[in-house]
Amino acid sequence: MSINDSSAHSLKRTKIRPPKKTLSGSEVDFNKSWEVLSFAIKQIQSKNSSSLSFEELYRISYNLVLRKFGKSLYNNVLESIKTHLLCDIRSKILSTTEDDKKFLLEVNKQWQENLLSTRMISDVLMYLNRVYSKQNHLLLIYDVGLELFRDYIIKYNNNEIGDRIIRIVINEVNKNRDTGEIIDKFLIKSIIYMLETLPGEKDDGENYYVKYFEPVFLDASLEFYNKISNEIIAFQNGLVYINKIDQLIKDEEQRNILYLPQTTFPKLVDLMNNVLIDKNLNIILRFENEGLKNLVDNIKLPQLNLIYKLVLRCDTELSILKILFHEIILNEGDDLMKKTKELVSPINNLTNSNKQSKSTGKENTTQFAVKWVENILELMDKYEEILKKSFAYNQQLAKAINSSISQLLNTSNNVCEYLSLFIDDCIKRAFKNRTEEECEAILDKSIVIFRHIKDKDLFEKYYKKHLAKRLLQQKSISNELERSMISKIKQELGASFTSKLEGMFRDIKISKDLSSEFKTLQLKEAAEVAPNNQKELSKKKLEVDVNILTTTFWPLPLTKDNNFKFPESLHTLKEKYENFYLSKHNARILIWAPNFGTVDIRMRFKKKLYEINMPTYSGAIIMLFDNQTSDKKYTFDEIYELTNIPKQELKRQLQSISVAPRTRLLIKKPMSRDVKHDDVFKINENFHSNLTKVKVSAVSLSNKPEDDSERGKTIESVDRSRKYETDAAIVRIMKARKTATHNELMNETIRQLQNRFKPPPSLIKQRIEALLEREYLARSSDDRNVYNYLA
Amino acid sequence: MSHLDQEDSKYVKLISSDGYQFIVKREACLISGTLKNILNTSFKESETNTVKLYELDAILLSKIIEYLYYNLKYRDELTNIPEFDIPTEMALELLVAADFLDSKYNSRFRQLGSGLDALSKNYPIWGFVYSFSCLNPFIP
Repeated sequence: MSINDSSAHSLKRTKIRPPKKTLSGSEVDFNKSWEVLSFAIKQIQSKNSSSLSFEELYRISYNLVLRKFGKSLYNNVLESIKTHLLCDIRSKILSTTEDDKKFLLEVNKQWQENLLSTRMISDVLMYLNRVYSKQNHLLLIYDVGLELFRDYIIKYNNNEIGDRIIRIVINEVNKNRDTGEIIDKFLIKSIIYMLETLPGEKDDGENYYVKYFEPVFLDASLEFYNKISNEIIAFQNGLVYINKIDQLIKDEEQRNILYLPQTTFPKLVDLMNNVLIDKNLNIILRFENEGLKNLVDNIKLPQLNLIYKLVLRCDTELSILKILFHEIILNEGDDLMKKTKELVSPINNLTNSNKQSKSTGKENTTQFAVKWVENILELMDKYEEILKKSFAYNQQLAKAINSSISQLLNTSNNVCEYLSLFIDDCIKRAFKNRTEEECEAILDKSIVIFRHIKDKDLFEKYYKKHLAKRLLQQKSISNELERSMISKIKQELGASFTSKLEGMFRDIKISKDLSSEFKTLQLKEAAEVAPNNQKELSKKKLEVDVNILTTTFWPLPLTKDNNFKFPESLHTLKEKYENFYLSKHNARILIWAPNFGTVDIRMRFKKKLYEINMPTYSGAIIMLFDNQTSDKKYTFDEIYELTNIPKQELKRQLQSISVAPRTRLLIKKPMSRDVKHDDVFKINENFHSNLTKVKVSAVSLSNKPEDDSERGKTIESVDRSRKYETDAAIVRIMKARKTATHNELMNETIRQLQNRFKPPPSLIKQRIEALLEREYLARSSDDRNVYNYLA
Repeated sequence: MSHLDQEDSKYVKLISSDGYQFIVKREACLISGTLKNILNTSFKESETNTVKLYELDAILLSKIIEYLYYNLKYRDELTNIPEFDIPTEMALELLVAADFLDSKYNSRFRQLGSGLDALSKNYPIWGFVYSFSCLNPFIP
């Protein structure tokens, strides 16, 4: 502001000098001035600029523009450039017409020179550009120069030179693709840059390259890709195709990054993705010869990684891989069955030839279950590895593979039972020589399978059954493992799922404490009764371990109407224990289940004293012969009378102590497999065994797969308990909500039950009907679709 | 002044219409769009590193050179820039000269620093000159 002020009052005293005449005053002769400029332009075009004075030329054009000769000057300059292009440059280019490369070189040379001269002319005429062009919204001289080059060289005479350039460039590129012959990259790059620099016509913004060159180039590329992909498909080999295509894509990328503008490159990539990958992948990956399945089977990680990358190029959803993996994994199910059978059957044949025992068949089905689970784990490991190492842990693929495995597991019927048997086998046997970490790892893996299982309640049923037998027979290697497995299940599904399993555990522990307490009590009593007769005492002493099992926790069938007559000695013991227990818990009822127990009996035969472990029932039978003469005989019916063992069970027991070859404690007459009512039994005085300790196998107690009828029963009982659980869930929900629409109730019920099983809607509907009938619920009078809870 | 012969010399010789010679830093000259083009394009001037300016006398040229140095010194400063003194009687002559020398020429090829634009805002007299250039009766 201060300047303005000072200039304001200095105006009064100081006169501003007018600009000198030389600067703008004198008259200007346009024709004379143009002559100078026109000559200079020609000199510039023939590269003789160094003799010219920039200042002079600039001053002349400056004065012309100031004198309003801008328009004439502008037009004259364009005219002279045009003449130069048409008469000079065009003829020079056309004179090299025979040789393609020379032609391109000449075009390039003329283009570069023209670029330079136009720039110099534009520079000299900067005052024209700045004032005249700007005010009249015209292009700068330089830019017009580009347009003139386009119109009078490249596109002149029906795109004569332009077409030729395009044809030659594409030929060169194709030659390079076919033969690998190296083209003059820099020349091509420079020519393409020229085409890009040529501006578009007024009506559309696309430059010459985009409008004329690119479409032709892409067409040619498409044709090339089609040709080559058809060639490689003909090999009918997945891996060959994948490798070749990968190489081709790399080559193309390298080739084109050198001379194509950045904007074309993605279009070319799209084209390759579509033609080379997307279009053919479905066929390629299904080739039997090193197709996807083959690669997966052989765990070819780098190759799978390559496929992953290729697919990812054209489909971030990876749909094709998802579909194919789904198919492959579901097919693995059948393969797995076959494979497992093959693994098991040779053992089967071998054992059958050694001993014709009936039980081997059953044992092998256990083996089958274990092997099957092992194979499943292997399979899961395989896919995990592929996912990790080849597919960069792609979340979508992980999800797809996971759900396919789920489906695979749940389509094979017996997964719950097999998994439980597998864990049973691990805890009983397979973990014997392993470190804790290894065991934990295997258990963790089985939990992964468990996670996939839909019918978790069915699994629970089997697991309970198997656990019960392990606990009662003390077959587990370590309680730690049992507890760890239960806590893993608990982590997955919460405490309610495992409360019964834990209850079983607790029962066993409490029983142990009780038994030892009972033992000391007994010792004390005995000492009081006969303090001096230690010898007699130890001879008569009977030890007992009683397991007190809470009925609701344990999956064992209760035999309330069991009239089994305990042998005398056991009977007194039993009564003693009953008194002992009921004195502690007087409101409880004890029901004895001798069918689950075993006894150890020391027996002296002719040769040796043996210690024989056998089921309680067998024990009772043997006890009949105690203190009898060696030729004492009982018939089947007599034994039945004396023991009251249920007849079916009795037959089985007698079989195992009189028919089974290694434990033939009794002699049966007549000797045959089946036990009949009038068969006669007596002690086998000549019983012989290499071991002092003999075990009569408890046929009914080992864990093995169920046969079909047993399985039917299990499923039936699961179905029954599902009904109750569904009822309970519905009532729970309605009690909390009081009213709910049908859909709300359905969804909530499914949600509540999903940890145990997937209830089919029909089941829920049926249970709702039943509850309506029993008047737990009522339909709302306003809306048939709404239920009310009736307290 | 033999070093002026070298093309990449740091100094340039400017000659006024009345024959006075000024040795000026090339860097300063480049502030003028016209001088920049003259010195950077391969004409006679760029070979001899000498520019004869027939339009400008010594008094005017010396003031212009003063401005060029002033601009060079302060173009990167944002504050504390002293005023540039312009004698009132020279204002119109300087106005025309500024147009001739193009102190804010910009095109695709000449990315002259925007320092002068900033200065024309900070320095009212140059703003004054620029705003007058629009009204200049000699410019069509």
